[in-house]
Amino acid sequence: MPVLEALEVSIRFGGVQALSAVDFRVDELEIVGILGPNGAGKTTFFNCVSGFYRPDTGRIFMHGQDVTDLRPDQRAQLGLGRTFQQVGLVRSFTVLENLVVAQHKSTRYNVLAGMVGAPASLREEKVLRARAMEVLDFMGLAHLHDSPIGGLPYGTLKMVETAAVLATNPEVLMLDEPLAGTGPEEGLAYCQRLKDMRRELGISIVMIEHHVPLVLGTADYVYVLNFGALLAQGDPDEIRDNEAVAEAYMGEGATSLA
Amino acid sequence: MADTVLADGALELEPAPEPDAPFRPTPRGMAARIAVLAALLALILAVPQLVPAVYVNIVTKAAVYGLVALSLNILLGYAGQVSLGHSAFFGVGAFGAGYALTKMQLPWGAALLMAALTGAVAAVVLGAIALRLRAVYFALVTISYGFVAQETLFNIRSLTGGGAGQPAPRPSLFHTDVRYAYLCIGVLAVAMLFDWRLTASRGGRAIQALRDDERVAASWGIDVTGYKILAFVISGMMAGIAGALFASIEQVVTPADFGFALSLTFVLATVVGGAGNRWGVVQGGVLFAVLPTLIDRAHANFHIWPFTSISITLEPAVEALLLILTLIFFPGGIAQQQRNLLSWLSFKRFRQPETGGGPARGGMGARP
Amino acid sequence: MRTVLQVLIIGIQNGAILSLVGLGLALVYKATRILNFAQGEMATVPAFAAYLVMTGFVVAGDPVVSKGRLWLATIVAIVFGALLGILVNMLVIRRLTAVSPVTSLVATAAVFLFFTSIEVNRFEAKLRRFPRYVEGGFRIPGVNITVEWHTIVVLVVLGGAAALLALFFQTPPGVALLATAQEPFAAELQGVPVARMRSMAWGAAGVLAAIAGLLGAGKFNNLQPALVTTTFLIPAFTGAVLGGLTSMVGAVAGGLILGVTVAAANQINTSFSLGIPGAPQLATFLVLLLVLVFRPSGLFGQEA
Repeated sequence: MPVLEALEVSIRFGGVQALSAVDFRVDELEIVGILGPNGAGKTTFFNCVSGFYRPDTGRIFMHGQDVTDLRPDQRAQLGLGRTFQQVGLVRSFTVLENLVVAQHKSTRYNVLAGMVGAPASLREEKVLRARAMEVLDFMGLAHLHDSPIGGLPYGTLKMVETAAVLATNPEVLMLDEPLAGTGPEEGLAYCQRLKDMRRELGISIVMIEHHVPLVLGTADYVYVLNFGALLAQGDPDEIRDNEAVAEAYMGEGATSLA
Repeated sequence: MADTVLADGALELEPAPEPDAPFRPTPRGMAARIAVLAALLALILAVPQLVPAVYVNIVTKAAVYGLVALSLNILLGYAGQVSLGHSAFFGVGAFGAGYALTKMQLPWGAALLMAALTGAVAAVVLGAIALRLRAVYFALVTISYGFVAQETLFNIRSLTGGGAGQPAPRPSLFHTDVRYAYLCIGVLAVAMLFDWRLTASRGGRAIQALRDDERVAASWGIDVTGYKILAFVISGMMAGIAGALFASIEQVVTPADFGFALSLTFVLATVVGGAGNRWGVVQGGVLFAVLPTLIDRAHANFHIWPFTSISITLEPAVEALLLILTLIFFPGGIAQQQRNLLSWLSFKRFRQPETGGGPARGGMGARP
Repeated sequence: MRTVLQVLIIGIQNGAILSLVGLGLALVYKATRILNFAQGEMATVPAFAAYLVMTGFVVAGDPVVSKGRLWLATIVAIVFGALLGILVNMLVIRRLTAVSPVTSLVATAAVFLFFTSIEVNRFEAKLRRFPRYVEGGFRIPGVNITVEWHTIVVLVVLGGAAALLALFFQTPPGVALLATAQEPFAAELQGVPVARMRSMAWGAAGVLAAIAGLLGAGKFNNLQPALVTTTFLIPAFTGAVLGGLTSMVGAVAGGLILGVTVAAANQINTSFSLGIPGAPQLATFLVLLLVLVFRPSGLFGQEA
């Protein structure tokens, strides 16, 4: 059973058909890439899958369960994690505080208990902090735990954001342009890290990216969107030699992405 | 490939520096902090006894305003919702307590609970509206709401005694001015404790997270609607309780006490104090509560300019200037100016490294 | 039928002033995206300036208000109003560290408080006489209410101002002004003098406000501190929102419609002996809520 599945997703904004009948599937422990030129509808698709937009037609499924009518926070509770193009973090908190908030859904004590300082809540707070530090350690960010988000460079923030999403204990990790602003070496390292994450944490990963060679080198399966429709899908080798995809990216006459 | 996978699964691009060991003050530093804290506590506890009898009610009012500022801070500082009609919740609590005491003949504690309940209800109505509007339109609605509360709700004679006002006697155990002042200070202290626990736990964190970016909060599993409403409920409850305490200062309340000017004063107090910081906003509330008396006494006793020309009618102008100065020159308010002191008093370093965190930081229970 | 006519007349008499204030609010919003809570005081302060001119700067007691100097006072008030608008922008709005719509609302509310306080300090919290430009009125046969010439004056001024502004926004400088509101960075790159245009917009809003103050005080035949804000500001905002905050014509229509709605609410309250206190405030609140929830762009506005 696929971990995440989208069937016939379409959405229209005013006069523009942003997505037309997009089908999509992520299986367990898969890394799936979503490619496509700017404006192809990739982030719109993410927003539909994660619940921020309501598609005009189509259904979204997680582990076979229809989640199309669920709010974003409800889908997060079911194991969906995502990042955002402009880094998605709580700007007025420190790095550690962000990682603690991110564990919101796995926190067991209820709000009232927290407000009166019940012993169980105090104990669990310690656990939350410890776990946050673990994740930061995993990402090599432990030394920044007390830094406010405000002063950190963009590349670091992207890593903190990934750490935060990991702290939500997702089953499926949806990354929106995680390599934006990174150079080729960092990008390569990051992709290697994704593969390690998949193995160590047992998660599936979906990534929107513009860095075509890296995606083709990392993903198990690739979807290509263009003008809101699925242009091509297949494993990386098929996509690399797909003429239509090459034309979409590099103009007429191109025959391959290599 | 430069990176390595360590045995316990941690990845490193390069060796990461060790996280700083948590700061612990020296024994002398500890002693100094404890001494200052004890002195401050003693001072606050002594104030009702120290001031001349005629000013004790001002002290009480200061505690009550501090409580209101704390309640408004939950909306303005933590949840990022601008409420320019807070006098509505305040008044609802005041009249709710008055009604419970006079018409329902309930004991004072029950009247307090009634005030909390009615305050929460008044706030939830506004909260439900807030869910659907953009921030600036919501601010307009809160102003209008405040007017409706004052002109319509508080003039319903059967509930509030209309223009003649509603009596609100004090509890028998705290009947004198001084005792009542201690009661109010005590309630404020409990509220601050509660506020501290709120921000140190998942509820308060969730509320603050959705202030900065609702989508991110939702993607982390936070029910945005639920926590927004929660913020309104807690704020309304606190404001209602403050209203009940206020009612029993003069032991009578009329609709005229709860107008737009009061709502504006509350917002100004919170912003000047430093929205997002509980110590800051309480000081803001205290300042604005005593400001009229301060100006009046300075005008009467200091025979030099500018005190000679600033009479009590100009007190609102002073409030307004404080706000504008804060917005232009001191965005974090009093709290921002005191940040080093507050940091030192919470057993951390006196001067934190400048790391560019924004002025109105909520933060969690780790800092004051 | 007679009651309906009465409600219409009373409604329009109030609504006309509402629209005038609302027009100023819409102008500031359209040109700067700021909700100017100080608009009421930008009206009342010039009215007090006019008062001073007419009483020969006598304030104590109940001074004689010389109607002969009314036109001089009008000119003084209008110039004063323009200057006031420019000053508020220069000293407060431009200096804010974070110009978000909410911060400017709070900042302009502080400006309101500041001026109100000074007015009370200088002029005491009492009513002072204030003349109209045209006295008297006429009767419509069968209706008890006099239609005042003053109202006609207000409506004419209103129509003229709204038409002028609506036309202005179609001209190149008007479009440039819109650009400074919607895309300030791009406008600056295009060479539009953003700061100067904003000053102009505030100055114009100040002129409108001054006129609203003069006519508003004239309507009541008296002037007191915070007059325009306490009586008109929230209804004016509501009317402007109803009409669509970015539409000049909308501000006029919205204000008039709100005026009639409030008059109708009062009439219903008395006719059916409902005894609901504060009916005007309640009606205003409900209209605001309904508009913002169901049609945030208002009747004529183009954006939510």
